[in-house]
Amino acid sequence: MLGFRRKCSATRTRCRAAVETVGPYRGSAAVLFGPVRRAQTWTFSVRRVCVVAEFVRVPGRVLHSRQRMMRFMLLFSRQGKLRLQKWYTATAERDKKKMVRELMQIVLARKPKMCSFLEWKDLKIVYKRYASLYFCCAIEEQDNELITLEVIHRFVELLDKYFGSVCELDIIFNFEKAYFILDEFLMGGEIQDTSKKSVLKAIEQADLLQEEDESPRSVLEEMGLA
Amino acid sequence: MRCLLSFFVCVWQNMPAPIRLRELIRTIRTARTQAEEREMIQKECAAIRSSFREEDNTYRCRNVAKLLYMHMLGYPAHFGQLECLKLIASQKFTDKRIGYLGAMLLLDERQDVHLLMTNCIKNDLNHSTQYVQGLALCTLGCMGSSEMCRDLAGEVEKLLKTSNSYLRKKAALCAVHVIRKVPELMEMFLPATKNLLSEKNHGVLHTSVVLLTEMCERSPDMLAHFRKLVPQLVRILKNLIMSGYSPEHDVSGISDPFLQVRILRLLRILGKGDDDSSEAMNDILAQVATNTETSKNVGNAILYETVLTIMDIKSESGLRVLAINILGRFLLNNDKNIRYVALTSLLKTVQTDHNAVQRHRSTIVDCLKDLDVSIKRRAMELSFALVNGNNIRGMMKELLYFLDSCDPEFKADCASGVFLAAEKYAPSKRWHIDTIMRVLTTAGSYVRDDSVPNLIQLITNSVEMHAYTVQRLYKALLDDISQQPLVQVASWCIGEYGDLLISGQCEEEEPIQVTEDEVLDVLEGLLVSNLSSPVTRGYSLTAIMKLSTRFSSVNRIKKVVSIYGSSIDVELQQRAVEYNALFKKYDHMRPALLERMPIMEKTASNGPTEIVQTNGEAEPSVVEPKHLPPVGQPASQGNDLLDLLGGNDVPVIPTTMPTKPASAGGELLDLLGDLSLGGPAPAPPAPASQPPFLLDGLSSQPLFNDIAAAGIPPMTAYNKNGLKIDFTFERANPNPNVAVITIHASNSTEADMTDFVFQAAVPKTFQLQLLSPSSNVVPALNQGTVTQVIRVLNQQKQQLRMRIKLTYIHKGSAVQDLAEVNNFPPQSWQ
Repeated sequence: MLGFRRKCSATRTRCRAAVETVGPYRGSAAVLFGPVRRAQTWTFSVRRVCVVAEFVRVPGRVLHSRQRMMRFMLLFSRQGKLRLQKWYTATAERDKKKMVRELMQIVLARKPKMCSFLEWKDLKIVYKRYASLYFCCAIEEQDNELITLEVIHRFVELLDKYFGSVCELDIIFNFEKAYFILDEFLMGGEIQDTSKKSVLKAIEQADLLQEEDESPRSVLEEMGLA
Repeated sequence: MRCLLSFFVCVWQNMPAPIRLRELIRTIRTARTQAEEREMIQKECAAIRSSFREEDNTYRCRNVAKLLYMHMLGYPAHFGQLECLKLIASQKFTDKRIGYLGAMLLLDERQDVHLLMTNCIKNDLNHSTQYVQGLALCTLGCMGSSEMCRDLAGEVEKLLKTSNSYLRKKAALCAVHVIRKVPELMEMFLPATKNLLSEKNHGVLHTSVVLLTEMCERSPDMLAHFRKLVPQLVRILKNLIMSGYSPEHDVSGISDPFLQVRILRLLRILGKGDDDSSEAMNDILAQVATNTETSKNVGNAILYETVLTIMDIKSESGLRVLAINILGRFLLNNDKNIRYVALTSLLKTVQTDHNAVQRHRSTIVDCLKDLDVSIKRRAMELSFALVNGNNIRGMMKELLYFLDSCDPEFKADCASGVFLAAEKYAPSKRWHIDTIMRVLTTAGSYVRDDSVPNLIQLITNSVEMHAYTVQRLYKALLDDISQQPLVQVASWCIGEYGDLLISGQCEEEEPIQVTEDEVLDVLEGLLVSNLSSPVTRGYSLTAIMKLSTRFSSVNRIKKVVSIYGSSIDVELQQRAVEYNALFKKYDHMRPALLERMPIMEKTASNGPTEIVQTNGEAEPSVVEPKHLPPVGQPASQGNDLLDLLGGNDVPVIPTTMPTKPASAGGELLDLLGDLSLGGPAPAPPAPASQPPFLLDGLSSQPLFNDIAAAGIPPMTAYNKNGLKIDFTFERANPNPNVAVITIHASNSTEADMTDFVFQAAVPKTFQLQLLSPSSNVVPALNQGTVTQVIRVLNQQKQQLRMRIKLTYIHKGSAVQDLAEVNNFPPQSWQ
């Protein structure tokens, strides 16, 4: 027991160190120095602005502070109720709530004739309304907004096929199924499979597997009740 | 409701089975108020907690699912985290499915339970059922911490090599996540990538392209390595666009647009900055650009990606024009999303392909009239980017029209855009003044504060336009006194050039005939108007005062001024009292003091340099304005600046390079930090002749270098390839936390080092400021040194560490080097 606990705390410190080493990658100039060994952010102060420009465009080096991917996907209703949330980057619970609230306000306030994109903080928000539900994705600067609309549409099609003309209630009462479909379609913010058929097949088979181990239990349940 | 609640509470108490998830959802949905909902949830949470405590295995899954629902409603659910882990460890697929879902929703990367989870995931990755393996991969790929990724990367790599495409595609995306978390594990996946592109399954193909993209973006070596895949990628793309209808991957008549977009993006990365690869993909890009069906969004998504690729790689000029034309076509599209995308991308390319974008100017300007605000905003930004010396008159006409009619949210940005463009490309002074006045009349309340001093400065400098300007402004004032910036400029000008207004001499326009009393009526009207702000009143009182030497009706002016001697507004009262004193005690000085303002020198846009330059020695220039009554804006601005210098304890160090005073202004202002400056102020009346004198004084004063070595021993920070950099130290200034380091760069080789740039970085706890170098050439054979001063603010007195970066050109080749300096003498930071 003691040994286990010690191991646990060792991991904790290691984890923390790991988080800190990742930290500086989000900074600006630090990245230029390749892997940062110390948990310190180096802020470069450069005398002349023109130098900064030269400095950033160092040939042969690739800046990898940016991650190209979907950051999160939200489904919420016209009334501002969250129906589904999927985060693809680690975010603290409090920040998530704050971002969801802010974003819902902004999107719900937009008029129907406006376009489906908006710039929000350092992200691009792509949203589309289907009946009473808003599907909303946050993507990065370099991502393709138009194909993101297609991703949203594909997800709606999958839900529709699975539930048989889906409506908001289906998603409310079967939210876990909606998550399963999303996880079978997207992973880490990227599309897993471009074929509708294979996504749905995987879901159906997993459902079958679930039924298999549920059926004996329901008998037990009845017996317990009796 | 109450009875329903009590019912389910008693159901819970009497019977072991907790209510089902759907029932809970139904019950919660019946709540009519937030409070009612909260009460229900609290009850249910209590039940779930006690069930968790009893280690009930049968209903754990159900309870966690309910918890997830409550979590989505925004209620705390952290107490379910460990239960998720227990579910994952269960043998049942249902439990695992909910357990992993719960883990993804409730845990994030910072949780300590991760260690427990790593083992479960490891087991499940080796499970016999692919769906269990899939769940484990998905969870790892969504929330795996770097620690977890390190531990499990081996398993992921193994799964990436299986023949099972269901697992392979998930493993590929999982590898992407691993690489994002722990970049040094990238090499591990390199062997597995070998056969990925020959795969037929589109899922695997798509995820492989994502994986390759990730690797190329993270490492230049990988990028070089994968360039050889270009022909293969081109072939896949060609097959996609040439192949007939395939129902499985078809999206409105286009074969697998998702894969196409991904491949195009990878091509973009591979082709960037590489001639051969770019050459190899030119044809296919042209093919995609011309053959893609554009009636639907999907087609446009592909075209958009193609355009981005064409712009980024070293493509042929014909292809680039084709790309810009595609964007031009997008601008005419009915779909607002596509118009938006077009404007954003044109904005990105306007710097590189200015002329090609210029061709679509009229379409872009038309987008200013779009109903969608996002499009309007983009169109506005793009229009400003397209303004140049040739089209400024036409473009400004459109933009001023836009300024008239646009929503208030645009006015501020549009106004400052017009100012900038006018300053840069104005065809004539008169046009410039007209344009700014037009902005002030239409959007006066939205312009930035510094536009008033800017315009005043512009007007004073165009001597021949004074009469014209003052007449125009007077007319504008008669029309509307609600636009404060305009009123302020007008008051100032009437005060300065009142005589020109009365004389009615104006060559440019039909002169207006006004009497002195009419002018004074207008100015007094401003003083009493409810529309006027206190600042405006100040301007107008000063203007009236100035007119006392230009007009004959001195008595009337005396009267007005004395009335405001008892004004409630302190600022106004002070002005009035001082002016009054001027009338009474110093009447002989009055004409000289109220002289017309001298022509102002153009100050750097971030502040009045010369005043900051003079440091503590600015005293002389203070004294004079203090004897003077504050003559309108300029004098009081001067005082502000001096207050600012006096009241701040950060020592202002004069730069070592007095020859470049203009560039120092910004830095020094940065140093002064959060003190707000009222924009570039007109210089105070007197010191016009002083800056040179003060600077002369400075350059003869001993600089730190001479006294530096006194306390702290110097050190050599860098000595390589003939370039030697020594540091000398100095901390004799008022703030002991600031270390002043002077670098001396010398060159022992036989050739000069040109374009020498020294940069330094310190850890976050320090603050660093680099002043100008004495030169950018380090002369050969130690014939001289380049010096540069670094100031380091070390609040916490920590050991000083620094990274330095050097770039220079030596014998025609660019040299760049980095070094870390850790051996600072302790005296330099203690």
